[in-house]
Amino acid sequence: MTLPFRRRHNDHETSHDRARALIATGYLQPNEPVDADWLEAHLAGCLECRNDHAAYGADRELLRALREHAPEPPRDLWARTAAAIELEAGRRTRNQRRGRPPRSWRIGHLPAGVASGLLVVLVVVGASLIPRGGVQLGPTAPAGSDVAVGTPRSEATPLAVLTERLAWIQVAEDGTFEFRQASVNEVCPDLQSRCAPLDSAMTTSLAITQAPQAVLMSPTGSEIVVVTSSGSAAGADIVVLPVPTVPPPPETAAPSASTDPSTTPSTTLPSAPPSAASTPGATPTEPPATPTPSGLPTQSPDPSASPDPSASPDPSAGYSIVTGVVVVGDAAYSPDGLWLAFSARLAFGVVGPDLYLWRVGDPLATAVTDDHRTFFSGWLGGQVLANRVETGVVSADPSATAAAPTPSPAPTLTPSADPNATPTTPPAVVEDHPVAFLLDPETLATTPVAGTDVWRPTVDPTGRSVVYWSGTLIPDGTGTGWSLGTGRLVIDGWLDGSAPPTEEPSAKPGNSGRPTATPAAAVFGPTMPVLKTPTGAGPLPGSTAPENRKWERVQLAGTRAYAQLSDRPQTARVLDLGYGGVALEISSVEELSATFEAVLHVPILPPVRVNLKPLYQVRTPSGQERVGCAFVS
Amino acid sequence: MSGSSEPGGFAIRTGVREWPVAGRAMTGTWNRDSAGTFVEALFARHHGEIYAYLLRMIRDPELAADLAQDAFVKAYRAYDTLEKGENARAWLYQIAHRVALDHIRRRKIVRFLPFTGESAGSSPSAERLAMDVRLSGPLERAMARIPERQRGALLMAEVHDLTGLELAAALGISHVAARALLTRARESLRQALAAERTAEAAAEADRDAAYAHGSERGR
Repeated sequence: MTLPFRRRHNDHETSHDRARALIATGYLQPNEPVDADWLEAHLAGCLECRNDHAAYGADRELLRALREHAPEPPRDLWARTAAAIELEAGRRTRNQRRGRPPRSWRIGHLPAGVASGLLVVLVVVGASLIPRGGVQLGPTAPAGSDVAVGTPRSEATPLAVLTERLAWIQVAEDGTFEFRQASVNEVCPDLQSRCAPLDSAMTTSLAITQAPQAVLMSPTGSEIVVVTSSGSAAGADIVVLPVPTVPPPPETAAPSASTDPSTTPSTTLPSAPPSAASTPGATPTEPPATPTPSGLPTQSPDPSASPDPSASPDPSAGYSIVTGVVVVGDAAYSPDGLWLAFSARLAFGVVGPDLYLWRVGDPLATAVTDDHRTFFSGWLGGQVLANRVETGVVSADPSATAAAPTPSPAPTLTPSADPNATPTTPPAVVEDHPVAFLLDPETLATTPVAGTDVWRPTVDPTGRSVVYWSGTLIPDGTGTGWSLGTGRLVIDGWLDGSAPPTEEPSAKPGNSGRPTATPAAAVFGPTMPVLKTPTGAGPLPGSTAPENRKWERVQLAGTRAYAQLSDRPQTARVLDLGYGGVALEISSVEELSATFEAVLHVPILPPVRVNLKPLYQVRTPSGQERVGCAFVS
Repeated sequence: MSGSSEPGGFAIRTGVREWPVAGRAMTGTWNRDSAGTFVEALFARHHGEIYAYLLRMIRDPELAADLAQDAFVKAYRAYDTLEKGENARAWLYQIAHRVALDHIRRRKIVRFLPFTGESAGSSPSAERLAMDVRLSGPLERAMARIPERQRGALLMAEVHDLTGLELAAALGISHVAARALLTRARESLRQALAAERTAEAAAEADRDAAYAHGSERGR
C-alpha cells in the first residue's frame, strides 16, 4: 500500500505550524471550508494549538482596543503639510520650466531596478547578435558563391563625424614646419578611400628650424603665436602668424582621385618678421633687437628701444613681438583673445623674469614689470594672475646665524664667481616668499591676493577653488629663477573680490604711457580676492587630494561642539558635521577601535548618539589628531 | 462605494461627502492643481489614521507629525502613480509605511537622545505624560520589540482595518506573502507580550521585595 504522501519526522510540527497559520489568517479573512474543517479537527486534539488560538485572540483584542484611543493629530498638521506641498509645487514648477524631469523613483512606468535589468538583457542579447568580427559598416558582402560574380571590391566607407575645426603643426617633407588647419566632417582609414583631400590652401609655413616650444591659437582664431625654442644662444622669439580663414566644409565629400592629401601647399604665407633684427635666425652674437627688457629696469617699457615702430606689422605676414628672451612658464591668451601674457627673462644676462603683455595688433609685447622676479601664472577673467618673489633669507640651519634678511631685490641670486671657493661658514638656506596679485592689463592696476606664500595660483573655471603651491622658494643658483622650497601643493577655496582692483599707489607711468606696476607695494584691502585659508596654509597635510564630498558639511570649528566618546573619559572637539559623518579632533587615536560609539553635543541639536567608523586621520598644527569618521549602523 | 463622479475623474468616499478629483492619474500626467486637490482630499479623509499609524510605529508624537507631513508631500509628488482611485487608501498607507521604515532605518544609524537642556526642576507636561503612558503600556512595548515590517502589518490589519488585498498593496508584497508576514507577526507579538509580562512580573516582585525590606528596616 502506498501512502498519498510520505511521512516526515517533523509532520507533527508542520501540522502545528499550519494550524497557527490558519488561525492567524482566519482573522484576516475566513479560511477555506477544507482548511476550517482541518483546523477544527486539529484544535480538538491539540492543547498547545488551542492555547495559541486563545493567545492570538487575546492579543488581537488588545490590538483592536487601540482603535478606541486614536491619538489626535496636531492641529497645525494641515498648515505645515500645505506649506510643504506649496514648496514642493514651486520646486516642481521651476524644474518644469528648466526642462528637468520630475524627481521620481520610477523610470517611465517601470521601477528603476526592472528597467536596469531590462537594459542589461538588451545589451547581452544585442552583443550576442553582433558578429564576432565586429560591426561591418560597409556594404554586406554576398555570401557563398555570389562572391565570385564580379562583386565590386570592398572598400572602407568614410565615416561622417561632427564637423570640427582642427589645427596642428607638422613637419613638411623638406623638414620645415608648417601649420595646418581644416574643417573635418568625415574620416577615412587610409589615403585610398573616398575622403576629400585636405585643402592645401589652409597651410602656413613656419620659418622655424627647431620644434617650437609652444604654439597657441588665439581664442578668436585670427592668429597663432609660436614660441620658438629657447635652446639657442639667442634665446626664443615669439612670432605671431595670421591664420587663413577656413572655408566651411562641403556638404558631401566628393570622391577625389588624389591619393596624397599632404601634397605641397599651393600657397604659403610669408613668415618673415618685419625687421631683420627680430629674425629668429639672427646671429647670436648680435645684441637682441629689443622690445624686451634689458638688465636695466627702466629700459623695458621704453618704446624707443624697440624696433622701428614704423615697421608696423604686415597683417598678412608673421612678425615677432619679442626676441631674445627665454619664456618662463606658459604664455596664455586672455579669455576674450585681446591680450597675450607671459613671463620671460633675457637670454643674455643673469636676471629673473618679468611679466609681458601683448595686445593683439600691437607690434611688440611690453614688459610691465622691471623687478626681474615676476611670473605669469594665468588669467582670471580679464585680469592677469601673477606672482612676485619677495626675497629674504631664512636660515634652516640654526647655526647659520649670519644669514640675515636681504632686502635687496636680488642680492642672493648671483652665485659665487669662483665655483671652487670653499665657504667658510655653513651655507644658509635662502628661502624667498612668493606674493600673488592680480593685474588689470588695461590700467596695470594691481590687486593683491590675500595670503602669504601663494605661488602660481590657478583658479578653477567656476571661480570657487584655487590650486597653488603654499610655501617658500629657493633661488636655483643661476640667478634667474627659483625652485620650490618648503611647502606643499594645496587646493583652497577662492573668494573673489567683487570690487574693482585698487589703483597701485606706486604705479608709475612708463615711457609707453602706461604705468609700470610695482606689486611689491601692494596693499591688502577688504576688496581683494582672498583665499579661504587666509594664512595660505591651505588644507591640512594628508588632505591635499581634492575632496569629493557627497553631502554638504557644516563647519563647527570655533563652536562648543564636542563629542563624548564611549570608550574614554575625555571629550573630543567636533570640527565639522555632515550627513554622512563627522570630523573629530582627538588628542590620541591609539586606542580607537574600528567602530566606536559617541554622543555628539552640537549647537541647536539635542545630544545624538552615533556609531562612528574612523576613515582617516591627520595631524593638526596644534598637535592633535583630526579623525574623519563615518556614521555606521 | 467609490466611483467616478465625473468623466475622467474619480471620487474619494468620505462618508459625509465626496471629494471629486477631476482629470487625475488616468492620463498619467502630473498636474499641479489636480494633485493639490487630490492630496487635500486625501488629507481630509485619512490624515488622522495616517498620523495614528505613524505614531504607533514610531512612538514619538512630534516625529509622527513630521513623517505624516512627509507622507502627504510624497503623495502629492507621486500623485500620478496611483492607478485606481479606490486604491488610494492602501496607496497612502504604502507611502506612510515606507516613510516610517526609512526613518527607522535612519534612526538605527543616528539616534537623538532626549533633550537635556531643561532645568533640573522642570517636569514634563501633562500632555507628554499622558502620551507617554499611552505609548508605554505592555502592548506598546511588545509592539516595539517586534520587527518593523511585522509591526506595520499588524497595525494595518488589526488597528486600521485594512483588508487582505489592501494590506498586500500597502506592504508592496503579494497577498500570500502578506498573510505569511501577518502570521509571523502574530507569533512575534505573542512571544513579545509573554516576555513583557514576565519582565513586568519580575519587576513587580522586585518592588515588593524592596518594599518589604524597607518596612523591616523601618521597624
